[in-house]
Formats: sequence, C-alpha cells, structure tokens
Amino acid sequence: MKNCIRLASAYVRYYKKQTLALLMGVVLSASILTGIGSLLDSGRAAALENAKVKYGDWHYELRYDDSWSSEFQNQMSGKGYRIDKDGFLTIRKVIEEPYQIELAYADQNYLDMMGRELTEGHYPGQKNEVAMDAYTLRNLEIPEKLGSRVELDGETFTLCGIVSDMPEMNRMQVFVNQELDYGKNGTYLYVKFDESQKTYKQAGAFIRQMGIRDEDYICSNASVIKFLGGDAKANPFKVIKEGITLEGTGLPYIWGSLNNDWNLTDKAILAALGLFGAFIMYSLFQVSIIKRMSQYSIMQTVGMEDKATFGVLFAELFMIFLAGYPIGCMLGNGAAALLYRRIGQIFIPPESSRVHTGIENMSELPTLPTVDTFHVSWNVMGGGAAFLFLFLIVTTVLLVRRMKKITARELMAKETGRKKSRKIYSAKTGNLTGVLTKKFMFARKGAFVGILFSLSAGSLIFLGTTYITQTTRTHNELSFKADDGLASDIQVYEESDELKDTIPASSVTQLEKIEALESVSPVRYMLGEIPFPDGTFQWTEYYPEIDRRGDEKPDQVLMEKYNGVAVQTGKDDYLLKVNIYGYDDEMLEALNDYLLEGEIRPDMMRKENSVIFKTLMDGQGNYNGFDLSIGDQIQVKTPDHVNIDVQDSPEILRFQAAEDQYEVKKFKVAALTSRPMGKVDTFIGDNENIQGRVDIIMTNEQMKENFGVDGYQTISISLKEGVDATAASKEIKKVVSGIPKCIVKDFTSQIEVQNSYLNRKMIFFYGVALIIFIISLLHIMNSMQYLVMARKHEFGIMRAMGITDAGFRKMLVKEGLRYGIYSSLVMVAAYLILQKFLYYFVTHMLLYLHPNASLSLLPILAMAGINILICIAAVLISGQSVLKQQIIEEIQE
Amino acid sequence: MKVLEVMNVDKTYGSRENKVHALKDVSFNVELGEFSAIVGASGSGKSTLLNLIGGLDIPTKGKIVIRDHDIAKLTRKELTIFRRRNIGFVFQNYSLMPVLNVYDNTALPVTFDQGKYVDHAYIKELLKELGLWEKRRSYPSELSGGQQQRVALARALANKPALILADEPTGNLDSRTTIEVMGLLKASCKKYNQTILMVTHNEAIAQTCDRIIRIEDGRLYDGEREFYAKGGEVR
Repeated sequence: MKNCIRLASAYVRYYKKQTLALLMGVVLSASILTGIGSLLDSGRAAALENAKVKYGDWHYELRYDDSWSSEFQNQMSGKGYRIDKDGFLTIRKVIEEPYQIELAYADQNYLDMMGRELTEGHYPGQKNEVAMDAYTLRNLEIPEKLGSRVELDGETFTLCGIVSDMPEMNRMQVFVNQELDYGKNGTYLYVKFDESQKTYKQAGAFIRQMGIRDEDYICSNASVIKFLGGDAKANPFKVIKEGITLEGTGLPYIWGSLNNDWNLTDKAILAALGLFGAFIMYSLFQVSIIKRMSQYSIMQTVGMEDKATFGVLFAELFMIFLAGYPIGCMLGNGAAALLYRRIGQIFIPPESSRVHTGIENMSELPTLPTVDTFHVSWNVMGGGAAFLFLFLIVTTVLLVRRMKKITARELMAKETGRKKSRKIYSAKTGNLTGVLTKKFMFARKGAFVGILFSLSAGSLIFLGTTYITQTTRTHNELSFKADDGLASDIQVYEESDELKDTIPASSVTQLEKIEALESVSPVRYMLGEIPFPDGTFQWTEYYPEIDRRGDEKPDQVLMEKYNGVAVQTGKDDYLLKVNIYGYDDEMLEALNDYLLEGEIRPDMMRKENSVIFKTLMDGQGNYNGFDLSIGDQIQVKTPDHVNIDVQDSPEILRFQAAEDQYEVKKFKVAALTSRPMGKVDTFIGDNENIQGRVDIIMTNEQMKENFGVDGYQTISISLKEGVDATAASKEIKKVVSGIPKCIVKDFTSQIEVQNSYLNRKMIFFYGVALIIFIISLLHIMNSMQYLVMARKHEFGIMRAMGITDAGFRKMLVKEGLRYGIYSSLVMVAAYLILQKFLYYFVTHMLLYLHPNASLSLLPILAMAGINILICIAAVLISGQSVLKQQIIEEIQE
Repeated sequence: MKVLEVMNVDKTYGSRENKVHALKDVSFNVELGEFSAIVGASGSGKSTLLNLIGGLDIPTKGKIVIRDHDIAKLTRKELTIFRRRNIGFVFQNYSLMPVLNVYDNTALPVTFDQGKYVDHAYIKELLKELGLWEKRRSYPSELSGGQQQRVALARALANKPALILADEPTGNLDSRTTIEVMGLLKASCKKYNQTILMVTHNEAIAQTCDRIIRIEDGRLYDGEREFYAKGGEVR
C-alpha cells in the first residue's frame, strides 16, 4: 500500500498539468454541488420561517369545546408527542356589516404565535375597549389613534390598543376584553408540537391520547407543517404502481406525488450536478491515465498485479479528491453565502398551499419572502462526498479493466479485424490533410463518441436552461396577469357576496379621468350554473362533492353557501357553478395569450351572443375535462340579482330557490381558454391553485343585455410610469369612497419586488448554466489536448514530410470545425429529445401556461457557433504545443 | 558538384553541468550522386548530424549549406518548403502514417505542396520499382518491416529530392531484407542521380556505400575524409 501511495504521489507531482486539471474539476464540481445544496437548504429553512411569520407559528387548530378539553392541560406531553406551545382564541361574536369581522378574546400565547404584537396602547381591560390592527382600522375608516371611537354592530367601543396586522390579511379581527360575552362563544386551541420530531406523527399520537373523535374539528397550518413532516408520506412503490396502472395518471402523477413528499425537484437538481461532476472527473482522469498507459503496460509486464494498479490509480484519484473536495466545499459555500445574502429570495420555495380558510379572498400578489440566515448543508456535503468516493472506486475499477483490455490488445496483433477503406484518396484529391483529419477522428470511434458527447453536454445544459428560463418567464408573465388581475398596479373590488353590490359605471368614468392612470379595466360579474348532461363533464373526480372515491372532503363553506361547486343530478348529469365575467375589448384581446381553441373576436361575440369558455385544468396540465367543442351551445342559469337579497334568501346562491327567481340563457361557445384575466374571488372563488372553476367570459355589453348587469365587481388599474402610487391610490379611494364594501388595494411595490425577483432568478439560472459550461470547457480543453498529444508522432512525421506551420494550423482548424459541427449536430439532436421531455415536464408537471414547444432558433444557432469556436480554439491551443516541440522528438515518441 | 556542405558545426544540449556536446566542429562536403554512410557507435552523434542536415534540428554553431542554401538563414516556413522539395527522409522506425494506405503514404509529401500536380505515373513507377504496386491499397500495419521500409523509401523519393537522409533504414530489418533495401537505395541513387546520406552503426552495410564518414564522440574521425576500400581496409 505504501508503494502504491508513493507511486501515486510521484504521478501527482510529475504530471502537474493533468493533476491541476483534475483538481480544478473536483473543486468546481464540489463547489457547485455543495453550494447549490446549501442554497436550497437555506431556502427551505427561510421558507419555514416566512411561513411562520405569515401564517403564525402554530401547527394545528382544534375546536376546544369537546369532552377532551378539560383534560388538555394535563396532557401537554404523552406517548409520541410533545406540545411546545398552546394558545387560545375565543370568538365572542362575528358581525357581517360593514365587513365580516370577528370580535374575539385571545390569550398572550395566541398573540405570540400569530405574531400580533401590541404596537401602541394596551390590551382591552374594560368591556368597552377594543384593540385592532391598522388594516381593519383603515377599512373601517377609523383614525389610527388611541381613544378613537369604534362603532361595531350598534355598539360603541374605544380604541385602547393597536396591534400589528394579521400576516395574511384575509380576516378582520377586533380584540375585546375577556369579560365581554354574548353567549355565543367558540373557543379554538392552537398547538405547536416539538419541531425536532415529525408533526404528523405527533398529531396522530395526540389525537389518540386525547380520544379526539371528530377530526373535522382539526385544521392544520399547511404552509408551516409541510416543512416539518406534517403529512404522512405516500408509499413510493404504491405511487409508482398507481402511476403505471391507473388511467390518466402517468409520470406527472408519480412526479407530483413523490415531489410533494420527497422534495424530488431539489434532489433531482443535486443528483444531476453530482452526476455531471462525476462525469467530468472520470473523463479528466481517464485522459490523464490514457496518456501514460504505456507506463502501466511496462509495470504490468514486469509483474505489477491488477490489485496494485488499482491501488496506485485509486490513491492518485483519492489524493486529488481529498485536496479538491474541501476546497470546493469552502469555495462553493462561500460563494453561495455571498449570493444568498444578495439574492437569497430566489432560493425560497414558492408557496403552493395556503391555510384552509374556505373561500379565498381577493387574490393577493405574493410578497417577497424574507431571507433567513445562510445554512451550510452538511447533508449535501456528506452525501456528495460519499457519492463521489464511491464513484472514485467505480472509476478506478473501470479504468483498470480498460487498461487490461488495451494492454492485452496491444500485445496481440495490432489488427482488430475492422474493415478498412481501400480507397486511394490522393488519386481524387490533391489535399490529404482533410483525409487525415477525418481518419484521425474516426480511428477511435469510442473516443470520438465520448468527446462529442462531452462537447455537446455543456451546450445542451445551457440550451435546456435557456428553454426553462424562457418558458418560466412566459409562464410568470401570463399567470401574473391571469391570477393576479392583469398584473395591475391597483385593484378596486367589492368585498361582498351580494350580487347587486357593484361599482357603478359612473365611478369607472370618473376613474378614467384621473391623469395618473394608464388604463382602467372594469370587470362585470354574475354567478351562474350550467348543466352538463349525459357525461359531457368527464372529470367527475375533480370536485370532492361529487367524487365517488371520497378521498377529499368538500369545502364546508362552499357547501353551505353554494351547495358546492358541482352537483350530481343524474347518473352522468352534473350542474356546475360558474363565474360569469364581462370584459372590455382590450381585455378580451389580451385573452388570446390563453387561447386553447377557437377565436376571440369581440364584435362577433356581440353579434352572435357567443361566449368564451374558460375550462378546467387537471393536475397534469390537461384541459379535456369537458366534451365541448367550438360552436356548441351552453345553457346558463343566473339568479335574479336585482330583486332578491342574498341575506334574505340565501338559497338563491345555492340555486335551490324557486325557478322564477332565476333566468336561463343560451350561448354559443366561440373559444376555449385556459385562464381568465380579471377575476372575482368573493363568490365561489377562482383560484387555479385550489380547484379550478369554469368561467364564462363575454363582453360587458353582453353582460348588460343578457343579465342586466351594469355595475362592476372589480377594476384593474395600471398607473402611468413614474407616478406616485400612494397619491393615485388616494385619488381612487376618493372616487369610490361612497360605495359600500369597496376596497382599494395597491400592489405597486409588490409588483416591483416581484419583477426584480424574477430577473434575479433568471440571472441565477444563467449563472449556474455558465458555471457548468465553464466546467465543460475545462473538459473540452483537456480532451482536445489529449487528442492532439495522442497523435504527436503522426504530426511529427507530417512536419518532417514538409507540412508548414500554417498548413498544420489549417488542418487543426478543419478538425476543430468538424468537431464543432458534429458536436453541434449531436447537441441539436439531443436537444430535440430533451426539449420534448422538458415540454412535457413544464406542461404536465410544472403546469406552465402555454409553454412554447420549442426554443427559438437563435440560441440554438448561437450555441452551435460557440461550440464550433470553442472546438477550433481548443484544438489550435493544444496544437500549438506540437509546433513548439522538435520534430525529431515527436517522431521518436 | 557539391550538394551538401557542413562547415564547423557544433551542437550542444542542456546547460551548465548538464551540458552535452553532441557534435564538435564537424565539417565535410557531399557531392551529387554520392551514397555516403555515417558510421559510429551509439551516442556518437551520427543521428544528430543527420537531423541537423535535414533541418529537423538547429546547430549551435557552424553552417550547413544544401544546394547553395544556408539552411540557418531560411525562415521556418522557407525551411519547411525547402525540406519538402529537396530532402527525403527515411527513418529507422519507418514513420509511416498508420491511417493511410501505401499509395497515399507515398503521395503525402507531394500533396503538401498546394496546387502541385501529383505525378501519379511517377508514383506508380516508384511503387512498381520497389515491388509495392500490388500492395498499394494496404495499410502499414498489414505490411512486413521490409515492405514498410520500402514504402518509407518510396515516400522519400516521391518529391524527387536531391538529398535523401536515411537514419538507420535497416536497423529494424533482418539480413535478407537489409540487403534488399540497400539494393533499392543504391538503385534509386543511381537511377535518379540522388545523393544519399545514410546513418548506420553496421560496418558491413557501410562498406557497401561509396563513402564512409566516421564519427566518434561528436567529432569526425581524424577530422579528415576517410575512404574505405570495399574490403574494409583503410586506403
């Protein structure tokens, strides 16, 4: 063993260039692997912290008025669980006017868990005192000043304290004194388990211990517990089996399920980086070994056994790995820490689920998450080291086997029996250098293929990244517009479930006159119901209320208020609640970005009274839930919103009132789209992230003609460039101040932050691709150098025979050009396959909106050009060393 | 007529304590059509001398003139072209291009001269003369040592050079093939009126040449031209 190490260290010192190339390969591979690993880990840790800030630092919420409640305080820990914190909230009363507001008493633990700090004053000590947050105060138009008069449900209170806003501003809470009691109390317990153990298991143990029977009373803080093992992991074998056997599942289902539970995306990124690093290391080392194969042959001839060869090779590799890996880890983590400090937000996973609150409120633009401290991922570092260590062993075994084969072959007759061309080339061409170049390239087909693969690998990764980046950008822009209300700077909307509560057209006219506004896009709204008889609605498992499997429970609020979104009326007959929108022509034109089928022509729609059908999307990005074609007729039932108050007859929204309280209209379908533009969430909701809704979209004129709707539910407003958003907001507020339940929300700062976030994310993607490209470049240079060195003898002969330096370089350029062209062809062919996979991935797994099926030609051509240039440069640089050497030395090699 | 003049040539390798004098003050001339052998023990400097004459290496001191061209004064490019057109090489290890067949190996130096017409009739004649015509489509690895050396000779003759430099052309061959190759060298020398300078350490082979130049420790033996009789005795 000592001898092996001695020999290996002699090689390491003697072949400095190769050692350095390999060391660089190890350092770069380790740095990119561990750096990104730490960034991903830090991102996840920050996401958890952000979720806690946003949704509260609790795991589960339980109704605290069951038989087990009295025992709770004695059972803070038990077999399989430990409660770290508990807080109580008692709802004293909920008022509906002017908004839905909870009057509640909360203990200090609840306030701490929710992050609701008292910023001014004190908690209510008297029955007539209240504490409120700024958001509620603003909406009730009460001055943010202690001592202000607060009138709620006919009672008068004094503002004694101001608390920080609820992180998720979707509930209005007013804190009251403990003594204030209306006799209708509902107490809720909020618990936080020990976070070092999986919360799901602890919750199960707690439920068993306490004998809690009705689990419906338990609500989870999904956004927080998903980071803490809050859900039972699906059995991967079962998931794969289901994906293969169940119709309509397939790869997207497998990926989606496993990704949810096992965080596959991060793992796939790390695995790809690890494999890439391993490939580079193998390739660099094999080139280094092949260069001195003859020495090993001699040593084997004089009696060195395979065991010893393995020992020498492994010792050499391991020495370089031992030096390079820690340096790579330090460099990678150092760079990652710096990067994280600057653009850490892009590594924080986006939110995919929210706290279950029934109907979502008006959609909100996500605010940028806060960057937490940088976490070094010891797991990735350890895992990477273990993987690469195993890889070193495999590499060494492979090389020893290869060496054995080559040595044996060399000892045998040189002929391998391969058929050679008997053509006399000089009879046809006066230039044999071209022939030589070709022959050199194809002499070793294995090496040729390997080089082509590595040459195209870097550019392939770059193209793949560009495709993902471009589709991500398009998707972000489209979903931003569709999901977040036309990406509008300011939104004005009615927070009411009374259909007749609308923003009058006159207010829109007034808004249009405001100088600072670039565009005002008003949306009319109506709730409707459409029958889908005889199996025309095919995704019966889409809505839990009609899903026969009963895997998921329907939303209670939706069920109570609207009788669910879907209702089964016969074996294959269903009724679906739909949102009906009226858009202006500009918005309808913009809908073309989301067009699936048909045509969007506002004039034709008005003329034919045709509509746009926004269809459903499944979890795999498919849109074929309905047997519906362009030109088909749909029948829409709408409630009489003029004469009937929802408060007086709530059954009207359930579509269970007398038939004379509804109107039925028929429309022709002009187009199918994947998303709406401006939307209304206050009724049955319209959030793609939960369960999609069917929307019927028409012109604002049709809304008036068909349903008599002339007011607006929501208005999306864009500001002129450089305009003061706060001032514009105030002006808008002035216009709509008299309209009940009308809310003005300013999104400008969030949009700005969001845009810069996206840009940083794109820059990071390209940065990673660039580093990978640089690593490939190192590999290309090394491979080319090997190619040239391997032919030194032949080049020496050619020089002795009289090829000039210029002629020699010309020959190398031709070779580089050929490698460039061939590798570009391989790159394009491989990219076409990769693109198909990526397209499938972004369409069915990431559920991107309207991704391009292919990348534009420019980046592909640019990459091919760069490839060719790199190949030429690499061959020329390597060839320069041939010209520097004495001809006679080359001939003698 | 003088084809080659070697004047006071020195060649040293390395520096300081590692300095090696490969050639010291070597001078001699070679006439047109002469078949000369350079003889000496291993390490005496004979191959170094041949490489300097061929322009494959540069003398530390002195002058080498071939066909009235001082090769030291030629630029790198001029030297390459001059070598291609005036000097043919035959190496001990044949140094053929393994990826080219016999015909293309022979024609290779001609093709380096862009626009130069490849005289296929001449190459055919050469290959027939050297008994390689039937093997013209064969690759070096498919030939015997003697056949490979004949290909190397054909290649050296392809450009009709004035001077052929052969470095131990029979070093790797058995005695029968050695006689055969020597016969070919002599025949081509006569037929094309070429000058041949051949390095060998084999006294017997050297004695078949017109003239023998002996080198010992980097110096010409006695510093004079020495002619041996066919029988090997000093005249």
